[in-house]
Amino acid sequence: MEWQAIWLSLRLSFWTTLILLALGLPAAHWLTYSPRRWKFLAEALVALPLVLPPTVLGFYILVAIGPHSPAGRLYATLTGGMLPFSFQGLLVASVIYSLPFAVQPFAASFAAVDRRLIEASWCLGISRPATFFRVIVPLSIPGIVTGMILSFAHTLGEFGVVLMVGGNLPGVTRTVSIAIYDDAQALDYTAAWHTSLLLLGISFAVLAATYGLRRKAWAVWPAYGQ
Amino acid sequence: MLLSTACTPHPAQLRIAAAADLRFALDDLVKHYTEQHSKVTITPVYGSSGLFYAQLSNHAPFDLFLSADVQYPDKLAAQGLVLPGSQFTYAVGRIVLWTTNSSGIDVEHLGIEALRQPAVKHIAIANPAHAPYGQAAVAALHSLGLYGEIQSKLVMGENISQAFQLAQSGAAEVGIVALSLALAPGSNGHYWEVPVAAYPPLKQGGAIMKWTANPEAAQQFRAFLLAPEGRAILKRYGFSGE
Amino acid sequence: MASELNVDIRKRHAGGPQIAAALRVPLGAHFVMVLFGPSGAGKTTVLRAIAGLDRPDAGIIRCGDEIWYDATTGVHMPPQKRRVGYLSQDYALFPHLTVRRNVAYGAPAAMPGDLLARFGLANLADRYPGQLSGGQLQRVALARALAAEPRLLLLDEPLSALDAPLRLRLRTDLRQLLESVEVPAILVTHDRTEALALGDSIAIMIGGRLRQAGPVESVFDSPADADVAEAVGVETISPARVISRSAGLMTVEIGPARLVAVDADDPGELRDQVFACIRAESVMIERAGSANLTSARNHLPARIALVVAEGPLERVVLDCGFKLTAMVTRQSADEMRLREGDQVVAVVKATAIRIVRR
Repeated sequence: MEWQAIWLSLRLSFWTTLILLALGLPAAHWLTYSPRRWKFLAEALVALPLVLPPTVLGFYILVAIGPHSPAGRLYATLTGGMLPFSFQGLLVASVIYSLPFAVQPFAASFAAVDRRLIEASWCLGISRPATFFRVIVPLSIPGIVTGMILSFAHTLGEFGVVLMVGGNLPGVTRTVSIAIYDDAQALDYTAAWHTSLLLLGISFAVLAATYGLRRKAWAVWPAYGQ
Repeated sequence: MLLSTACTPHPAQLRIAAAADLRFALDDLVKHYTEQHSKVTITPVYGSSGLFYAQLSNHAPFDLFLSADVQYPDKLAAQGLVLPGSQFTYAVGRIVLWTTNSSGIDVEHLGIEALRQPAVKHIAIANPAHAPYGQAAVAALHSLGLYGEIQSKLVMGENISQAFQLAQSGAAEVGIVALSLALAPGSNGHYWEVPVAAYPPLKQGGAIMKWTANPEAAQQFRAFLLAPEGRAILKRYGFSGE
Repeated sequence: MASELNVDIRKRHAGGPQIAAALRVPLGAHFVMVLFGPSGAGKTTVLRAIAGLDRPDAGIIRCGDEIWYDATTGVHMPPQKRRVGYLSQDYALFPHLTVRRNVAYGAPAAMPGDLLARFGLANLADRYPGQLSGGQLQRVALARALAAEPRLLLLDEPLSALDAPLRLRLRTDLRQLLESVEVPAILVTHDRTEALALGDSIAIMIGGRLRQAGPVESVFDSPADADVAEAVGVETISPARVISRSAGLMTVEIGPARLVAVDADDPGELRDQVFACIRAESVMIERAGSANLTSARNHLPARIALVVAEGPLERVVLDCGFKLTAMVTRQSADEMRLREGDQVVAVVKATAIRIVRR
């Protein structure tokens, strides 16, 4: 049983989801409300990881954050370490890889908020940022939760990107999907089987719990029940 | 020597990027080595030599690289990424035609003709684009005059280990795999050795990466690989010496 | 302290007419200006521009000492700073907050405890908007707007979302509420009776332009032109030709008929071709041959073309050589036994005929 890999994968998914929440909300806000003409280009950029094969994505990320790259060199001077083949490198890769899975549901739910509610908040003297947190976000909770679930689940299942960028280092970058693959190659089918089953169980439990909580949300805000 | 006795209480760590065909052989070698040298922990990571090359070019934190060919270590040396003079050839590999015990295909007697059998619909090889064992397989098929005929039956594994798995699971009826994998315990199959003359020798080379934190430990392990004891273990898995 | 809101703006929506309006509203005390006109006249645009939700193309909006909008300097104060209580047609209450939280949303500090009570919302404080009726929603919306201590209220069709019987009742409530606060309001409506009931002053907008403004009664009684007359619901607006004018009176010809009307306030404006506007309420019907002496200058022989019952009243369409509409009580119509085809006499006072330019 690959406990180390499971724990690593859970940590990776958790932190990726959290970072995507922090980055994704403002990004989705901009994508929904910006009047800029070239917004469609930004939308396409965000959607890119959906279309690129994971290994292509992984390769580009490896080159983009590797020791020869400006980002990699900056990181080296700041921390003395290297981004690829580290947990931090996996985080960067996962955030990019799962970005559209967070941003798109966020943006869709923002767009569904009645514009007149936003205007009412402004007329009552509430600033735009405050309106975002007091009106838009609370009314977008289902979409935000969906985005977080999707990012978590998507990151948990990452393989190609992680293999490229992470290097399969036990305890550091050997996620559970790689561990299962590795076990199968080592002809240790029992371990592969057990780990897969546990992963399946964890994923299902996470999804069920989150969908169950979403039901409860409807009781808190009766508006959704209509 | 002086550096290592200046005492880190923790055992030295060695990470080895190892070609997939070494999986069982290297596990065995590491076990023997660490029985005698308790001050070192060795973690082998198995994968495709080509992928390791790409990662090592980007300074992947491995101490030692054991490739399935000599070209990848040479290229790394050309980039100035290895400790000078640390390149070495540690084994010569062999390819075999392998099938599970339950497939009913008698490769041992049919030899290469087994591939022509109608029962054989898929032949697993490692991806020749980047895996040395895959390249060897393709070379052998060409020189034995079968390539054109069976080309459509080829299925590619990402590395030799995955190719072996394809054959092991029965998804491919036959695989052209590393002898070292066929000799692994629990592999449950039988094989036919492809004539050595049919493909360029699979010289397997290695190198110590220049950023290793434990150059002495790496040197010592390398010495072990090349010493009689190491060679004997490698031989058990079908690797011959130079 | 005699500060006022001064609005003078122009805006064009893509593919629509140019909207132009100039208004003044005194601040600091109760005052209701009704912005009245048919749908699409641009009233909501003006309201949104005053609130700061839309930006005009040109003009200026000044509130007391503050410049809210100035096209020449590029100033556009955001709605947050203007302290305007804006009520949109569907109230826009926050569905995820209780009544209490909705009302307190924009309140500067702790909400005055009696605000909920004043609006009769005390026992609804913990309900959600989804659980309230139309009338209750309106009260919450008003309370919320007032809790934020606005200098001005903007109400966009506050009663349109309600059905007729409720609308009537709430109109009275709304009037009392507006009277009880020291905050002026601009109220948009297309309903005549609402305008009459709620407004102190009225501004008529038709086709994007402000046509007439002034005290409610005088605008309704004396529309400036035919469009305004139609908008305020004058039933008979007929093209007429001026025959003669003397001694403050004017004789006009409508078709074969001649009428005497009081001369217009500004005689210089009118030319030969005019419109005669006659309210149906001012037309009386007599049986032919009754020959009572009345002060009315106009007695027109007419045939009843159509009688339509409208609740307690009857609309009688007369043919005097031109179409003239009269409103009489059902009682009168019954007593006089008015039937279609009857020959009668239409009696109209000169003062009831309003002549406007063509």
